[in-house]
Amino acid sequence: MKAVIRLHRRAFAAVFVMLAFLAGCSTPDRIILLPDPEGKVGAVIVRSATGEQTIDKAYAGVGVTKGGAIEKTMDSQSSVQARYAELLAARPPRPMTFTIFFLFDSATELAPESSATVKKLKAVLATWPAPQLVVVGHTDLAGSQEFNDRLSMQRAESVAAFLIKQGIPAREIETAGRGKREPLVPTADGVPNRMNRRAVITIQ
Amino acid sequence: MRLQAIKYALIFACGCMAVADALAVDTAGVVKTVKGTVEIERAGGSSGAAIGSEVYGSDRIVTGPESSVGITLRDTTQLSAGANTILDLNKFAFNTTTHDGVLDATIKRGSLAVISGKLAKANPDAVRFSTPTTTLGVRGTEFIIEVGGNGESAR
Repeated sequence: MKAVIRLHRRAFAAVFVMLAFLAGCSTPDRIILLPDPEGKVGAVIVRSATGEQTIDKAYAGVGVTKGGAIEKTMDSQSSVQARYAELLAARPPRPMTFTIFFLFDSATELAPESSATVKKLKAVLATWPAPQLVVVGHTDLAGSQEFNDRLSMQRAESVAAFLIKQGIPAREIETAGRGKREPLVPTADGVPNRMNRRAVITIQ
Repeated sequence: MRLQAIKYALIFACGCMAVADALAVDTAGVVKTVKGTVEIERAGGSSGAAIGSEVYGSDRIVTGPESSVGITLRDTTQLSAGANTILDLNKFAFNTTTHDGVLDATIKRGSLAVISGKLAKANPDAVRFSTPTTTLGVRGTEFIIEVGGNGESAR
């Protein structure tokens, strides 16, 4: 009985080794890190069943076999362009942002240069595929979170109303308030700052 | 008393409709580029993708030979899938106010290019891409994933 079990185990082991071998022969999964348009590079952490590898250089990558073995690779801009031209050509346009500032502490009075900004925005919009405008209001760090959440939402809605008046369809516009969570100019809590009283329009 | 109940019911119903309207915000993303044959599969059937098609948090995106698709998610994550690709969006949520949420996608076959968005910036651990062999943690970046061989069988 024992001998039979042992035999089975051996057979299993043999099959396992063969499968691992076959898996090793097939093309591995590949992951390649790219720089952004300014040349900045982030990082990707790749985990397989048996290992982990961090990639943090432009055009560096890994190949991962079915068995989980991770092998480092190094490509170049030209080899990536050649191999993935179609994939990269299919990428959506990169979102663009436009910032509208507010007069004094107002939730409704936009700075005078706003019309010129919207004119530029409309020119970009003209060629954008299925455009969506996300209008996010911001405040400075004076006042409570709840107060600023409300104020930032009012700012977003003021800008949205302004965009609609300039002929942009309301259904393309989404509004949100981010309160004092994302100041343009970092300050201590409680500090008023003109540059932080704004709404950012992202075309995406 | 009864009238009042009806009044409240009406107010409630209207409130619900307003919520239903706002649910357009619940889409995960929108198709921005299409080439060749691209299908979006979800419970209740599949449909051909076109520029402007909405993508939801549990959709499967399938591209044919010599085909590709580009999708921008609500947090500005930009995805493109190459030919013969199966991409499963497992989960997507994004709160524009707090930048909380989750993005979980699996590429079962083919190729995918990713430009990470606001989710990865605010909360890297909330973003996960996987292939049949690996799981990727993203630290604000651009990358390509190509699944080797024929990938995993579809289901």
